[in-house]
Amino acid sequence: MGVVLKMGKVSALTAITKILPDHADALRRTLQGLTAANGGKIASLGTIHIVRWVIFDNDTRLFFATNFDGDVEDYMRDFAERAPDGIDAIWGHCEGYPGARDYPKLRDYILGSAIETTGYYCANPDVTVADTNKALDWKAKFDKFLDQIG
Amino acid sequence: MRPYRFPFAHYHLLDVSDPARVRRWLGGVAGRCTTVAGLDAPSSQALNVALSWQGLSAIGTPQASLSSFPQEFQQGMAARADRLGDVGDSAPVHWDAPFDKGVHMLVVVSAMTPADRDAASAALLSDFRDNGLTLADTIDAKLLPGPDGRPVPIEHFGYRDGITQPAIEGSGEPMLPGAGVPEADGWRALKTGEFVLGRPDETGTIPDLPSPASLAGNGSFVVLRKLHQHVFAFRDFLKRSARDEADAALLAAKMMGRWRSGAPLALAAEHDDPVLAADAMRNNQFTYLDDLRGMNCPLGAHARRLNPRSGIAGPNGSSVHRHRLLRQGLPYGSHLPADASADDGAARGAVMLLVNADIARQFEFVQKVWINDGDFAGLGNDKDPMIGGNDGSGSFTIPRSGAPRRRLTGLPAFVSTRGGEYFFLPGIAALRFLAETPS
Repeated sequence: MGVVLKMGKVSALTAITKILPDHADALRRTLQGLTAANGGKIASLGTIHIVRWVIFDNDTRLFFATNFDGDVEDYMRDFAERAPDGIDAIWGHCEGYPGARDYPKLRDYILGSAIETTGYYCANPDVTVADTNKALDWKAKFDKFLDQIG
Repeated sequence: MRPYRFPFAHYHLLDVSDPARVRRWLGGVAGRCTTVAGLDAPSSQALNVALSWQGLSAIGTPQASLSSFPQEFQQGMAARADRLGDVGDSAPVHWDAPFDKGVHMLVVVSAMTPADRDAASAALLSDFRDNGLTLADTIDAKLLPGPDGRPVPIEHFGYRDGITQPAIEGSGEPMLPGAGVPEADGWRALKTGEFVLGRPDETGTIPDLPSPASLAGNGSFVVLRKLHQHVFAFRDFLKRSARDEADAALLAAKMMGRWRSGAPLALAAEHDDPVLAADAMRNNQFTYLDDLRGMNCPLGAHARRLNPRSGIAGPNGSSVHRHRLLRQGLPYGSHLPADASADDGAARGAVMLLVNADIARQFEFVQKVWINDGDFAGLGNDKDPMIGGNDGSGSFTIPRSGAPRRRLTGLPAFVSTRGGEYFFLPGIAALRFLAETPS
């Protein structure tokens, strides 16, 4: 998939879609709510490092950029099945969106609106979200252990 | 559609030389193919016919229909090699004929005795010749002989095989504990659409079918994998990695997730339990929910990777039942004697037939994510220790309680891909439909 850049274990995907007329405010509220809810169900997938949405071009377009572990298709379907309402709540405000319940059409829509990454830097391309969580867990336990023996 | 198992099989691999005659033959053979109804009666043999995308094309299937099949099926297994981890020694350029060039049709003859199988195959071979089919190869597959010479369900590495099959709604089979989807109040069968086209699947909907529905409906996809097993290398690795014979047996169990008897580590963590292994009501009744850290059964063990039940908390944890496969298969080649002091160079392994409704979502996901990766379970670069594409630098992690985890390193591949293809298994009505397609 030419539009997805992969470095080490981390892939980068950027997509731009057109916002339906008069939908920008509702979309903005959804995205602000998602941010406040710490991503909602995104964390449950355990493979997504970062997602960023930007409404731009005078409220007419949506920029979506994400970094995730593995290849794009490995988990996109599982996520679509797990959180179809969350995906609908965002791209349902965009033109041509087929809905999250038809996976092949959803995949074609997202990848079809993706743009090639021109430049990229990742500090730890071989570290997955799971690795990070595990390392932090160990560090917390080790600190606790040091606290107890100190 | 239901799993069944015969001890003897021939896998005939064929090419189409006369499309019109082959289509007519498919219509005629329809009545002889094994159906669910036919399996209700005790049957002494079975016949199945499946076509690759090249095969569907070769018999003259209209372009509109051909291009409606999923992309991965159109491309065929060899073209998917990078995704499947079929690289290096397993790369398609090294595959056995005819898989190295592609093949049109698979005809499986299964029987309870070698005589029945050979007689059925002999009759078919003249049938093939008279009906525009060219035989490219026949794989002779059968259960290996046990100590008394009678066939036993034990594969080349020495493990009892064929314990777990997904229970499927409407199959009419008695539901064995552990065979389906674990729920709060017991086990339920998987939806038929996970294995049969045109039926509701686990999402409750019927996915789009290839067209026309008269061709695709009640059909399925069969993934054939011909896997060579490096039996001496496997035994040698266990011997080198273990402290003594008991430890070698423990390591073998940790790598597989079951003792060689078939007793699952989930229920028999410390010692083998042959009585448990032989009890079909108990030997599969567990979920890993009480062992999320893998103290009993490592997260990376082969059987746990291929069927994680409720035991993955991380990526795609709640979607494990969208990646199930119905497995059939038999060993090929001779048993390597237990006292062999070196690899004899003989071809031996297993022909696996994996049935699923969606090759990309089921087989390819399992092969790429669960077998050839470790990140889904927080295992980093660990691959499946039994059939993963290890290259001599593989690792396998064995968590232990009360002691630091044990790690096996320097794992080579114990299995090499020697061939394979994606086939479409038409329903009986579809075989008749193909016969009626005009040239």
